Amino acid sequence: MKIVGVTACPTGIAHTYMAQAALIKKGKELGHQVAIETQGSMGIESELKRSEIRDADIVVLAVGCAVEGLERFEGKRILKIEVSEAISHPNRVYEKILEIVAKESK
Amino acid sequence: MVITKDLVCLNRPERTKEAILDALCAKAVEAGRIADVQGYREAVAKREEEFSTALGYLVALPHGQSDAVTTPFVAVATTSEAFRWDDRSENLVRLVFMIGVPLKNRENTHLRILANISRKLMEDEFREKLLSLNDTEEAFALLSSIEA
Repeated sequence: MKIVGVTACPTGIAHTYMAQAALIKKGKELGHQVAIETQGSMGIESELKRSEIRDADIVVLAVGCAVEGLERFEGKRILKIEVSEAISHPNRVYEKILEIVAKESK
Repeated sequence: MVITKDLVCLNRPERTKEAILDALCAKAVEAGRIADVQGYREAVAKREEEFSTALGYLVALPHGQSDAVTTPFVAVATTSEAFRWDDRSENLVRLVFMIGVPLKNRENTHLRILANISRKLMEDEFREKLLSLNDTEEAFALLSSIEA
């Protein structure tokens, strides 16, 4: 599956990046193509490409604060989760993703 | 340098969040990274209120942004035993990365190092290695390898 996402937390110093690493690591293990943008203390990094968003099966927003550029995801399936969930239980996040995609593909 | 050797301590005897934060703050003050401990601790407490920074993997990353911090730093402790970080989660902690960032005078180079450290903590091998070390020098060498 192709998955894109954004991580962001209020201070943007640590958990934004932990969540990014956790989602990418688990996604790779499961054989997905994952691209995660961070909106943290250094601004937007690893910015999602238009083509990545277009081709994505789902958008994961692991955000604990307001983020920029949500209009890019208009019309996409979106899963919104807590930043802490992405870090502590990335496996559960991917289970949810599979559920959502399976349900809506019927 | 965000991490210096005098900010690393291993196999600490502390068994509570407050006690380990006290110990790490003392290190940071000695190293000249915090000018106002009270102010820094308040920033850390405020951040912990938003959500617990112990999110599994035996790791906690308490952090505060405050002008009580003079230069960005990470103080690192391992504890000899795992302990429960707070009442809000069951997560146990043996690895504490206490981060301080000033509100002013923040440079992207420092923020980048903090981001790299945060990412690195998600690697099982890195955490296991760090927890296995008993020599501060070796732990510092391992931690410094991330900064590059």
